[in-house]
Amino acid sequence: MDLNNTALLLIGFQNDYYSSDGILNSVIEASAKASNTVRNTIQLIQHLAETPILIISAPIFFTKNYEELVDPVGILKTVKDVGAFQEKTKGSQTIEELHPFQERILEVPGKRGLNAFVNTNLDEILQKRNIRHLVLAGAVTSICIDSTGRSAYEKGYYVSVLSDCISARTVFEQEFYIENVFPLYANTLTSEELLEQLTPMAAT
Amino acid sequence: MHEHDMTNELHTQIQYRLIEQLTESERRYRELVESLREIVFECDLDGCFVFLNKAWTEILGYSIQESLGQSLEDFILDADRDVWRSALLQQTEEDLELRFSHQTGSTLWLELAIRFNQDSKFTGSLNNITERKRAESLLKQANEDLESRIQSRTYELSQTNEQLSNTLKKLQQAQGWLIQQEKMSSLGQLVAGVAHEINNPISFIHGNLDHIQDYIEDLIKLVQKYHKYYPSPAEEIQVVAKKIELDFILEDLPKVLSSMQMGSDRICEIVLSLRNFSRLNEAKIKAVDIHKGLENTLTILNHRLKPSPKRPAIQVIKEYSNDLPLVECYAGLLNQVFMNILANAIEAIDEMGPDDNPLMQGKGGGQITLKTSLIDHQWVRISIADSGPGIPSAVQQQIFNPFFTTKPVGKSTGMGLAISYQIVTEQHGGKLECFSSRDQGTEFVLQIPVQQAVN
Repeated sequence: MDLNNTALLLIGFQNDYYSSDGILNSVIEASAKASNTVRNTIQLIQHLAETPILIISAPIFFTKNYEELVDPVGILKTVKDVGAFQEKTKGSQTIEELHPFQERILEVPGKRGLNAFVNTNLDEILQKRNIRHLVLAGAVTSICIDSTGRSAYEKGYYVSVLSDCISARTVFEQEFYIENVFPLYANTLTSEELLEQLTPMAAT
Repeated sequence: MHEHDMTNELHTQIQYRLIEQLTESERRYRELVESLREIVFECDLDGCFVFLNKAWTEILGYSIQESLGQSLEDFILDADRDVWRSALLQQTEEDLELRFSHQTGSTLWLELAIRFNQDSKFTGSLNNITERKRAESLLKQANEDLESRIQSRTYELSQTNEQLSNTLKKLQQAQGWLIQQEKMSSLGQLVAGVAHEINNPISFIHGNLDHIQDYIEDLIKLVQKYHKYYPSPAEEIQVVAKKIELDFILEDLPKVLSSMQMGSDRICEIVLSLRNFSRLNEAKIKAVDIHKGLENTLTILNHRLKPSPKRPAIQVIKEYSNDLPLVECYAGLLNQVFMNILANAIEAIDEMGPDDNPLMQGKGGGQITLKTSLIDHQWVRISIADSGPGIPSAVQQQIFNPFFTTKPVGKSTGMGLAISYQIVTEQHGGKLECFSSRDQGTEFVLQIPVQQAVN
């Protein structure tokens, strides 16, 4: 694994998902607690911050009236119905635990759907940085992580999913995606395994 | 938005719905399985748990996390493991009742139902049947207790019944004993009374006979002197002398007197025997001469030993021991025993004619043999044997039973030998046995201790 062409993409680390008072916290709470998503991700970033690896976050925002969503279905309809991720609200802000790394993380705005490549210049950024390997973390496993992962795979990126840094709606869903869906196009590994793979290279 | 991005999002939405349905379905079945009171499990090829529901912890106390990967067999008690191994080996799907070890160490009975899959994995359920087994055990115990109590009660009832039966027998025996004793007592009193009443007048007769003999002898001498000095008396005297047959009287009178003397002696002897036999005043144990008791009894029975139209006289053979000591006993009771046995012996001989008895043929009447001996200086043995027809073995076993008799109704109470047995065994601590065989006669053997134990 080459640190210079690898990027860690953080998706959905926002208060409406991960804060205890977040509007959609209940959706991922069980899985997030089970896999200790935030703690593992923070520990990983603490190590990666010292390396040249590119760390990107792609938060999702909507205007107050959700004008971006036309006849939404599924999770996006739910987002609109419950009033989640409205810009300039606490819910849409990045979680507090990531603030210390604010300078180290490149925020890519514009994500308004499931796929972080849609309506953003993520692909351009990755291309410019010569990134070939995209490592995914965040929420929700079955939606944004999977959609973005498949899109990256289709765009020719080598995709890794960090099994202990993602949150699903249920533990069952989490295990199902890690064991049955992600292996179809990505490499699944834990944050600790990622660090083990990076350490020898960091030393060189 | 590019087309493939739209497709991507559509696929995500489809997956979202699918996973939602799948999750809901999985949740529903998981909740169903988790809500079961029975343990539901799945094991791999090695018999190790790969799935357990909550009931596992609720019933056996182990956490699911620590139990997954462990073998089902590890939780079964040693005593039941062979049963489980056998079922596993044969892949039998019959329900098994096995004992499991609870996390606290206690034992639980679980009913195991398993189903083997094609790949030799198996799933199953474990149902806690401890309470049922406990109830069964209690029921079994209760049944056993009940059975035991019934057996015990039946035994007690049987014992009580036996006691009652024995008591009834004893009562009947006592009743017979009392009747017989009363009869014997009355008979004894009668005998004693008669003997006493006869004793006084016979004493006068017996005592005066000697004087009469002297007087008669003197008178005869005087008559003979008259005859010598007055050979020709007056005619009137000669007529009277001729009429009374004086010469015959003078010759016969001493013989008559001698005969009267013998008769008087015999009456005295019988009276003495009667008084000795009854011995009413001897209710206590006394040292007595057994031979005298036998002789007294024989004297009383003498008339029955004499010849009769049916048979000649019965010969009594006495083989008495010379060194027999006095024996401590209830003399009256023992005489009663001798009387019973001797009377039976005479009756046995009476029952058969001379032609029936080889011993009698050419030998006159039957025989009764009396033998006495001393054994170890401690016991006196008295044998009374007759030459009668003998007693069949079936009858022999019953002769000492109360009320047993072979005689016609009214002829015998059937208590004679029963009371004799009781007198010898219980009142004297002795033995009374009967030996008999067909055509060889019967022998009764009494053994009495020379000295009676204190009390």
